[in-house]
Amino acid sequence: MSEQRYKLQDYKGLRPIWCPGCGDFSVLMALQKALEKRQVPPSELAVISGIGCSGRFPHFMNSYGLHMVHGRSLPAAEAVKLANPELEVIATGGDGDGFAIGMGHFPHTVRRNPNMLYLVMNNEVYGLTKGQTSPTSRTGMVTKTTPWANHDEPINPLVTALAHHCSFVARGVSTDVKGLTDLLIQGMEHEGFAYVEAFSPCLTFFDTYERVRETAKPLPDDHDTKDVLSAMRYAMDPENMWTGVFHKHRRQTLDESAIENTEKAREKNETKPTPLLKIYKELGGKMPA
Amino acid sequence: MKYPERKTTTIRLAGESGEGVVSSGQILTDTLVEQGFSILTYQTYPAEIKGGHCWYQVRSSAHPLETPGDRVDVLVAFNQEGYDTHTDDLRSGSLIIYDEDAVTPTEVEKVHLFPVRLSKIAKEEVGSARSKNVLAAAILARLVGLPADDVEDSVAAKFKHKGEKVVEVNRKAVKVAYGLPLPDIDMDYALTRMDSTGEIKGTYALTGGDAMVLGALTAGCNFFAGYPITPASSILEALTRELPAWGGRALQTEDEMSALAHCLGASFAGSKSMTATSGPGFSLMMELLGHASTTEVPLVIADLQRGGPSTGLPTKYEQSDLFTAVYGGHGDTPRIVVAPSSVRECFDLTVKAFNLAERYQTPVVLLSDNALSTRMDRVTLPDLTTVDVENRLLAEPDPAQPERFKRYVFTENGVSPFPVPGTPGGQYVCEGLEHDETGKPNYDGTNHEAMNRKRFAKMKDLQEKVTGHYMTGPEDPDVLVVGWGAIAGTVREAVDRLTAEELNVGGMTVTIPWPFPKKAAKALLQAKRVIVAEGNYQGQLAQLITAETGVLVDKVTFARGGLLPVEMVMKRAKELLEMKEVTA
Repeated sequence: MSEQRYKLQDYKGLRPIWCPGCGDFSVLMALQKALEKRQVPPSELAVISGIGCSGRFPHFMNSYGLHMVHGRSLPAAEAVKLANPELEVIATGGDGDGFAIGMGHFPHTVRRNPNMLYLVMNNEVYGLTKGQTSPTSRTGMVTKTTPWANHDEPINPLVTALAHHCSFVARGVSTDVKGLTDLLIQGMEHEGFAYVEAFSPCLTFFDTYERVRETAKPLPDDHDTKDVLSAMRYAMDPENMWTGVFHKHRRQTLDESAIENTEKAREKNETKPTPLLKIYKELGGKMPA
Repeated sequence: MKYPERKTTTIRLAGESGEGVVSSGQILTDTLVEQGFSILTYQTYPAEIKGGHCWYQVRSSAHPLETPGDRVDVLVAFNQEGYDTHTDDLRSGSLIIYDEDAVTPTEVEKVHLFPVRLSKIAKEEVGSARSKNVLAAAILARLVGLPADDVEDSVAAKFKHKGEKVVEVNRKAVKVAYGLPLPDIDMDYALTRMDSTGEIKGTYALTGGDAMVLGALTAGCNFFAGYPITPASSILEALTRELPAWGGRALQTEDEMSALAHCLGASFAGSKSMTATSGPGFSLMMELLGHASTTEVPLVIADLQRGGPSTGLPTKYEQSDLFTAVYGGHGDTPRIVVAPSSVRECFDLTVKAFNLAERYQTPVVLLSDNALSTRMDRVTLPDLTTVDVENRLLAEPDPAQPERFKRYVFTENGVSPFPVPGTPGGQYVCEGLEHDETGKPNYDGTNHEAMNRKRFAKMKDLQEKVTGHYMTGPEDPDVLVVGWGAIAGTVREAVDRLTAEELNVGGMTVTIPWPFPKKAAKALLQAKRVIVAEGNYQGQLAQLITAETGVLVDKVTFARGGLLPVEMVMKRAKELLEMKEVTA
């Protein structure tokens, strides 16, 4: 085996600014290991993030990065891939960015199935803004904005992904870097939208390390990843934090459909060009090859 | 001098939506275009899908036109509402054609009446109820002076694709129209057509929306994302149809924030991207506009204005988004605003919007409106091989250089070379937080001031180097009337007509309202008296001009859902000519 062109070090950017004990350090390590395994050239990597602690990811990586406004990393990431399909496109964010303000984009991006990875670090709290409730916070949780205990039922991102026909759904935990790395590799290899959730505890505002230790377990070997309903059942299990690949399938990606549209449009223009196209050509306009 | 020798005829068709008001109007317009006339149209739509009053107006002439016409020469009323609603816009000697079976006429002073049983004649004499549209259009073509044979040929060509039977029925409708007895009045609506070997050669009948799409394609737009909204949906529909053949990407998104976020991501990745929306969607885009301004990402954001505020009057005319375009978004966020004032400018200024976005790596708001985008006008278009298309300054990073690439390096005019993702050595973070030259978040006060200076330096550069206005009428006017968008056309026509009356009134069309161009400021400072005419309630451009130049202006505002009348501008200009002192 020839020597690797890119080492782990080549994927590192600035030193992370997270609190000591933050799960995100391990998640970052897992992503960088996954990229090293796949030998993605750093200049061909695009990391698009939202707002939050996990939104800081692009700075800690050696890649092209886009730090978007709160909740809107997915539409931007989808467009980056459409504009330049050669790039490895990864969107990162937290549970607040993804499932509060980002909730208006998540189901639609999932439905459109662009070929990219979406890595969400779920810690069930708002860390960067110092301890408010999150859409994934459990009922009864006391936070700075739910001092009388949280009334709301939490959003289940895995079920939400499955419900909108997500073509790759997986969950790992920050305490199992090896397992998470493997899921990220699978997610990047998957042709389509890969949702990989990393349960990543926030030591400062909501320590869930014990819960992870006690309830995280790998999905049984006999789990059929084609069976969406079975996957949902595991995802909704209140007792266990199942890890691994919940579901995957292959269907046309957004990028593939765009290429198909180009073929269809060019064919149609041969026999039935639009009035505008006729004018464009009459005026000397040239079509790109 | 264009007036009073210019002869125009303005025709309005009015009735219940779905009755054929718009199709009759379009058939007439297409016939006029084919027969070599200049045309300018205006149409209204009810906000609901079925029912509601609507009207279609076409003004025709042998010469290019600036507005669809204040005064209606011929009104076709398909129903009672059509008859009752438009009498204020008629003149002495106007003609009202009305369907006798649907309208009980009331007396209108100095107006001729021409009852025609349109529905009955269509059904019984022509043999098809649907032929009512062609029947109405043909009667109008006859009044305008077109020979029957020419109209028959135009109509036949238009309906050729529907088969021989349909063509036959429509030819018959034309014959019947030309055989109807006309009222015994002096028909002064006839027009001379344009010289068919001169002015119409190389011209196209296009809507402002078509022109905008053509401009985008010419400029190299290869990414479009949008969300349906009246009146911008047609731009989205056109580009989802056209762009794929160009190898570009176009899609409908789930909302306006997603649309602009898509455009931003695509532009970050190297594409020339555009979105199109109207007031409510434009409001939603403010955060991302600010992001692109701070992260220095080229964008074209078309706002096709409509009646506001809020949900407002979705199908009525207004130009009240100027403040939003210029000031919208929190913080000190520089951006460029470009405003076409004619269908031809919808082409030119869309190209310009892309070029400025690329040159300055900043969002450009392309402010249009529902009047321009639905207006059909006969325009000349340039040879596309001569159109100047600009591309962003690209970076050539050194892959061996170990230090982080300075994407936001300080330069004199504020523009830094742009590394396209995929380029080795150019890795940086396109960062919405205040950042240093490498894109790393930085909250230091000195750096922030330097970055503000950098981003605003681009605006200074544009103000100094780019022309964003032009003058019409006499060189040294006693009164200068300023307009923008569709109302600039109103101003230009007013100036023409005042000049024909030998009054010393000039006009200024502002095409780049922001950053406010230095040369325009100079012209305003030198003017004796200034009127700003615009279609919004607050006098937004008027306020902007006073803020930017210190010049106190006279405001003529009109926010009644239609175009500001030419007569209103003329009246105010004459009043100012009489005044000894300027009163605010």
